[in-house]
Amino acid sequence: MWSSRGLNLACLLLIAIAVLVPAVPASAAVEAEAEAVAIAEPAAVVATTPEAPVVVPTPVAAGEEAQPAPTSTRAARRAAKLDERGQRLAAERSRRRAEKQARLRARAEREPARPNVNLTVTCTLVEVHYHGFPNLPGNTVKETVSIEKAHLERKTFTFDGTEGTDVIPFISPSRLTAYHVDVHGKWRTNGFSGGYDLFKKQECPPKPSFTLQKLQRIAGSEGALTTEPLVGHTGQTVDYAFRVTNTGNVPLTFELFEDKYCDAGTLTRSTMSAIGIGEVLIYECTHLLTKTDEEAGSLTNVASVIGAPPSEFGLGPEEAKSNPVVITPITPAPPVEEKVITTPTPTPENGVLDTKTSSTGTSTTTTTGKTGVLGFSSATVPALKGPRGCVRGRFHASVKSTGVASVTFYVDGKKLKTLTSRNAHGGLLTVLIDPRRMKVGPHRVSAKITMKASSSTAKAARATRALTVVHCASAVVTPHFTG
Amino acid sequence: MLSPGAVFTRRPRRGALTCLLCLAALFALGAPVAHAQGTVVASLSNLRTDTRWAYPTTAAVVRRAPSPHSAAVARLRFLTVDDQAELYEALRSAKTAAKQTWVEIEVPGRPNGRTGWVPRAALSAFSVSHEYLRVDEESLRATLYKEGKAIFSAPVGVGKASTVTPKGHFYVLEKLVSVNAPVYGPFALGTSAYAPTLSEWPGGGVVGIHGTNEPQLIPGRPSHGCVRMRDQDIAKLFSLVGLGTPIDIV
Repeated sequence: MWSSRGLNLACLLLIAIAVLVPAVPASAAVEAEAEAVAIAEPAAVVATTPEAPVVVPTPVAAGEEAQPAPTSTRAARRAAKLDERGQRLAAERSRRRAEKQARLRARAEREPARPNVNLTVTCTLVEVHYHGFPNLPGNTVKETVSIEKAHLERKTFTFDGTEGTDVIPFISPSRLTAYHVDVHGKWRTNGFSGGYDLFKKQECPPKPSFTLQKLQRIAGSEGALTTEPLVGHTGQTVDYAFRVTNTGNVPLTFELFEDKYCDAGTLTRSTMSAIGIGEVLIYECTHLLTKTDEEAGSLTNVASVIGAPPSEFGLGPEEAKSNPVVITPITPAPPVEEKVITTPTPTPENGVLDTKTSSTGTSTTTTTGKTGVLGFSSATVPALKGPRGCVRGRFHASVKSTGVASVTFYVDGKKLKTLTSRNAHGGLLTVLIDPRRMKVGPHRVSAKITMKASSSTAKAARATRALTVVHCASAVVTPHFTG
Repeated sequence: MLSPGAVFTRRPRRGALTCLLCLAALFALGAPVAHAQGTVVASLSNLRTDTRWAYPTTAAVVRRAPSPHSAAVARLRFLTVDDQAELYEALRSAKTAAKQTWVEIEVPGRPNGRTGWVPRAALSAFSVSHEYLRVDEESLRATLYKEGKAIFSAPVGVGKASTVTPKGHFYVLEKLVSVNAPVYGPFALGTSAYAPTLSEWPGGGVVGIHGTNEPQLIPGRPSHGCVRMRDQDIAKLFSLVGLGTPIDIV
């Protein structure tokens, strides 16, 4: 169905091609083809990835291998940054490592310190011996002692020089005959750091042990409780204190306390009778020095107490005796006037008082009632005598009975007792006051004194004398000092 | 609106008021009253061989000068921080023209070194101490003198740089048998000194002289302000020192 005209046109075209093709060089043909491809390529990308958000037309040189296009350039930048940072950190690490090695080398050359520790653990203490530390002041170690995972002691131990020994006493847990001790310490001091950690099972068979110490003092005196021999006046009261310290490793219950010089009904003790390891139990009692004591010469006695461990340990009770204490009773001396000042040389010119006229012996008594009436002056009404300073045990307050018809004693305004001249002993009207039920602090002891009416007067004189006593807490305490 | 006359009349009044205030301040400070005409002052203690001290009988006000109108400094206390009987060192006595006797005392408390006057009746009869304790922070030694003669000396530990032991004149306030606190050793002496830095310490920061459970630190400067001694030394000192003994920390 080809027409003759069409055939003619086709023939002409073929002839023209045949003529023209040999005239174009092969290279030019390749270049032309390449150029055509290069121009056509971007159009092809756009055409094939129409959803791509951003496409930057990048001409690719002919003959060059085309790279696969990144899915996101932000990701590429991030990766580059991370890579750069990693390299920087690695460089920093290696620099630090080199510096540390140099520092250690320099230190090793400078001083051959090799900090080390020797540890000794017993049932009651940990002894840590530090050695090989730099020979410098202020080597500091933080120490921790735990028993059965419970922290018992945390402290900072500081020592100077190459060596130091710290002893850390501890109280072992009650009712355990074996327990785990964990001793831990670390130091970062004077350019050295290190530490130790010891975990040990400590076997401690039950061993009851305790001590009994006896102390004494004259009631109302300012002196402290002492084990030293004392001299007391007949009629004075002696305060006794007994310290029982549990020095073993089992709790103890105390019973059968004995001291022949504790007056009946005066023995008291701490509220508990069973005390734990390391704890202290205190007994207290008093004794009134009598004429019989004075005739005996001196009182020397030893207290005793029995401590029993819990029955589960299967151990028997133990007895301990106290140290002996000695007190020598003597007849009371007559009252001594207070010393007159002997210090500066008094001259009226320099304003210093003549010592002979200075008054330094004012009594603690105060007169608050009617005085100086009906033939009695305040001077003739006797003073109220009592202790000064601390009172802890029973003490006496007394009034001279001369000319006194009756006296009523009060403590903090509460009536205590009324005595008449018939109750006088040794020329004194005396009342025994027990401060142990009073609160700690000052208390006012007063005496309303009624004098006997003289023949020339119809009415008896009355006066009130008072003094202040201070009920102190026990002197056996944990002090509140800064340490 | 003020007239010129009113202005002129105010000036002399202001001057008179200022003058009166100054006089009142001087009166309160006690400068003229302490040595007012007719007041005779006598020394009670030389703080070396004869030192007088007394217990309070009333909670009297301690005044700056021997006058009931003088400014209050403190009030007498009956108990120390450890519930022992408080005592006061007597420095001087003054007999006023009104025939009243006053006693100058040291007042324990912060700041250290306060003194004041109380009526004689506010104190009990005097006791006398013949001992004197000197603590030398330089040589780290404590020396006890009796009647002026050294009878005991021992090395001590004093406060570290951050918690120094205060220097000055103080005295023994209380004698305690320490229990349940190995850091204080077997015995402790309470003093009238207060640590300058540890005001929040229980009890207010009282400086004590006591034993230790760290004898290896003595002599030295390991403490929080207290004076530490080896246990055998504090036991000896405890037996030699009485209440009211003056202490100089230098």
